[in-house]
Amino acid sequence: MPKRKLDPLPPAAFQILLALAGADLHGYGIMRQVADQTGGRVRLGPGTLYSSIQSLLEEKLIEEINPADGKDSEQDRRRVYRLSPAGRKLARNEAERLADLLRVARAKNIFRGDYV
Amino acid sequence: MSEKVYAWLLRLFPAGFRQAYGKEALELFRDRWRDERGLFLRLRLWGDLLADLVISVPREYRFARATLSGQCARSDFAAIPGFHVLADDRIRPTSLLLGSMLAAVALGGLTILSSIASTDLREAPGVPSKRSVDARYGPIGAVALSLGAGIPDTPAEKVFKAWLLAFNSGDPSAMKTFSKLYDPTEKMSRFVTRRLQTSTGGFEVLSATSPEPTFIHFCVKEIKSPTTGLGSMRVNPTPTPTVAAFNMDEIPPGTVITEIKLDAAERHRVIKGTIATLNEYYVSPKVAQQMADALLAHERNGDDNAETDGGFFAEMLTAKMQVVSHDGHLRVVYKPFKTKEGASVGPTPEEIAHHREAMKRNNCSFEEVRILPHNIGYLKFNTFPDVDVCRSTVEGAMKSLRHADAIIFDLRENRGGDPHMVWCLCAATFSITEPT
Repeated sequence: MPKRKLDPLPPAAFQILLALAGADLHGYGIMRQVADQTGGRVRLGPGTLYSSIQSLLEEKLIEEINPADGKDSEQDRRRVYRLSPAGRKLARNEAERLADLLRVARAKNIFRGDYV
Repeated sequence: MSEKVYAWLLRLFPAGFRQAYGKEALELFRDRWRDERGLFLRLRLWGDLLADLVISVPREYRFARATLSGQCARSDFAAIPGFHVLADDRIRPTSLLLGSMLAAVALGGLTILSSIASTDLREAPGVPSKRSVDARYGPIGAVALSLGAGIPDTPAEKVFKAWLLAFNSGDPSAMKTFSKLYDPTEKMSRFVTRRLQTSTGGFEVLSATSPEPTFIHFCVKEIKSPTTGLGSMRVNPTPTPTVAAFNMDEIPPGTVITEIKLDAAERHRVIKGTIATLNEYYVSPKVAQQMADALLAHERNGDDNAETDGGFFAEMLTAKMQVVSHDGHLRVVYKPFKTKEGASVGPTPEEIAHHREAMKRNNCSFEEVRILPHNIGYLKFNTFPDVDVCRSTVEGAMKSLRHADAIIFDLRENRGGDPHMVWCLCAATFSITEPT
């Protein structure tokens, strides 16, 4: 069975790591957060979302946590995910890599004077 | 309707993905459907979902884990029937293209229709229409309701009908509601399970009599097979009648039903026979004697005098013995059947064939086989069944778990069984040879 690859980190997985950097979220919460942080440009579908979550769980970049005590309704039994230390480190490395690229792009006047 | 369509579309994903995230994906769909209203947003939602399917499904098949190979473990959600991966073939591009085109056409029409007509089709909350009741309970509801014709609507009758309606619906919430309302002490817990409902298909009532307001005697037939059963129910005479006792037994083929009404002499004979059996076979002679003393004390006190039904009397004796021994495996069982005159001792070929058929129909009590996250195999089986009948089932289940890093054997509801099956499982797990 081929193993899921997170190297290089796919954009969807990176967006999920960023979404979880602020708070522990369930699947729909992650989707909403990703939509917010991309200005609505990225709306992760269930297949992409849970496929990425599964890869991130397997690599221990995120972890599943128990929902808050006392919540036992169907609504509150959703799986909630948290960014692991390894996931935070990987997100930081990826952000630094993108920041380096951005610096190169600026140096090459890609933005034609626009501030980015 | 839209949710059901999406649940069907989720079937395009590999079984492993569905088992791990099917419910979550459906929940996410519900959330978006609730939050994104209006024609444009709904069209955008379906567009997102279709694009997601086109991208995700091939990728998931590329990464799919090895899953079940022929086992019929259940993996349904939202009452949608499921399918299992029998081979590790990838989806052909032509199939995917055709499926996507058909789905796009169907969903486009569905979205427009549901946006226009959703308010007309919506029913008042909490008030199920006749159509929804009919659709939910179908002909079974009719069976249960027709039972009332010609029979007084006694408390026992009322509870029996409520059980039949809830059980035959196959709806876990209906069964839960029944148990909460009519069976708070869980006398019928074995008979209010989705598993039993699935294996039997529910029951049709062949006959029912209610000689007393709190008692009903009935004969039923499994919907999925010709198997018939005989049982009785007693309810407490409270404003909302609750189950006091319930029993039901399969009628073995080639037997005749014996209608015995217990009297004092017969009860005494049963008690004496029970005590003799305890003294002869029970593992602890001391506890056996304590149980015998308890049974005789209850008989002297007249605690048993009112009981004339064999099944309930057996349950009463069981309860008294278990209070003393705390032995949940010790039971007195009443079988209201006897073999026909001249029949040979031991199971007949018909009985053996019937037993084998019942085992196969019940998937040899193997309830669930699947791969959990982190490649952990999970196997739940509720008996150690006859190895002659179920060897292929066991070997198939173990084969489907052969790539797992670890296996959980869930024996929490296992009631024991054939020691040869223990060997068979060990042989399949540890590569050892079964003793001959």
